[in-house]
Amino acid sequence: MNTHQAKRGFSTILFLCMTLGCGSTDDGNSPNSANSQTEPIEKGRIAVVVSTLDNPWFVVLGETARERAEELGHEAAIFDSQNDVEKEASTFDTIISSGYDAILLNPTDAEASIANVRRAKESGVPVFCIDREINANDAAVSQMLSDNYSGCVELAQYFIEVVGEEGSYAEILGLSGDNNTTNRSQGFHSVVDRYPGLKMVAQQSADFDRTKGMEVMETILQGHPDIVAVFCGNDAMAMGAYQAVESAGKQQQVKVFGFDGAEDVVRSIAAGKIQATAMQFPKKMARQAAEFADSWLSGAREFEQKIPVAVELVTPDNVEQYGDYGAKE
Amino acid sequence: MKRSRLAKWIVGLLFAGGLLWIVPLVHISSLVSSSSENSSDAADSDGPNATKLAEILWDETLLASRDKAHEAAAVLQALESQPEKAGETYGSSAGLGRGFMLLLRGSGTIVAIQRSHVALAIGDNSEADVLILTGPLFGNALRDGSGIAEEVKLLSSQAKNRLSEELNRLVEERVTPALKQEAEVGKRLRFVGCAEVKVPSRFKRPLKVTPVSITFE
Repeated sequence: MNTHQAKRGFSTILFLCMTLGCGSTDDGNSPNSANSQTEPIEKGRIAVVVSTLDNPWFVVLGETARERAEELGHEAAIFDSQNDVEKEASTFDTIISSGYDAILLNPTDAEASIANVRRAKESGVPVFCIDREINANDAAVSQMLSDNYSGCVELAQYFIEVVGEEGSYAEILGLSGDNNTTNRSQGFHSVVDRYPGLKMVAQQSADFDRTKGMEVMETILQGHPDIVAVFCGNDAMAMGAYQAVESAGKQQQVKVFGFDGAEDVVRSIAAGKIQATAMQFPKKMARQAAEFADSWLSGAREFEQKIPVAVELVTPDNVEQYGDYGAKE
Repeated sequence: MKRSRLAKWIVGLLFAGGLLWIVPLVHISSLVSSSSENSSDAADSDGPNATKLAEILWDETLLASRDKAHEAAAVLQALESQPEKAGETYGSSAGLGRGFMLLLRGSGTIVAIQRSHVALAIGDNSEADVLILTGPLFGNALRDGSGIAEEVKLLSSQAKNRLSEELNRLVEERVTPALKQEAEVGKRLRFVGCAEVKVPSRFKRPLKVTPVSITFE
């Protein structure tokens, strides 16, 4: 072999190394990509990660998911993220390293929780989101999401019927970073903003928390004593807001509206206190998520990425048809 | 070539080849995974322009779906006699829930005109069977009843909500003005529209319909 031939040979080999090294990547980001599980798992371990256990609605969500998972023959445990995405991240570390087979996740943040879900996916642990959305279609296996927007559209139309087309009102928002906060507010305003006689004089977040809801409402009432209504982004805040309204002696003047279908608000509506809420069916979502995880562990891989769950308006006219976080069949 | 020089070439080649294997100059990703990742990022970051998307879908999907609309008279009868079965036969639902969406067509006589709707009797009686909504329009009946929902299912919830608002705005712009202007009690009209039935077991006439097209007879 002469020098020229040798150089040609080596150049060819070098070129081949370059091109073969640029091979296709399996980034594992296609939705239902195969994980390490190949055999069906009859008795798996399922982690139920809930954004907070301070709110009874989420307690029902978590406990229903756990109970259904156990009915299906799996071991299940609930983890509380305490509304903290860092806590959620370390919980995911624990879950992944402990060898859980699936995660039912009520995300803390639509953006920040994505990384946690992707880590689980890369570790071969499928994640099913419940109630709250993450802003990615290629991370969770499936997401069961309350149709908050249309629920609030319907609630807002009832708000107009009850409150009228004139007057000042306040809005108490949920957690920022949660798509539910935005969707509910947008749905509400898509209706109410069409009536120029209705003026929003205050809008403040109380983080979906009852105590904060009460404190925010107290402040609003001091600054705007003439308001005729308040829309709260969830029932916990509505209960807090109603407490503030009642303490101020303004329960006839200020109409309170919530969202969730929590048991205490349903009773309050029946008692003629809070005006309305929207029933979210946490038990239905939680059960479906557990059943999806069971299907996955049995080998199923085809799931709808986003499944909207209908929300129903609860008012004094139909409140007897609702209770126990659902509809009485 | 001397052996020592050849050896150096081989070592250098192996080193370069290994380096290029680990850190290639270009990276080829699977077309499927990259397109789904890119489209999801594009769809979920801000979402597509809802106004433009609504206009495209109005022409390409909504108007085209009119041929698939069910006769309102038959649907109403089914809703009253076997509501759940009516949903299976005539309705579409996007997820979990008791309710469903309908795509309907029919004709009838105007029996009343209100600020928010035109009441239509489909049969021979004088009572309203259907309320053709004239505005302001809300909700997802158009998006979810017409087949559009299937085309946009991977959009974020916020992008889908904006789309619903824009579709409703298009109805208020393109359909309901003529309806409000020309409607008179006693006149007959044909309609195609979408409706939502929230709780089938509690359905009662009249059914509220968001119109897609209206033609006076």
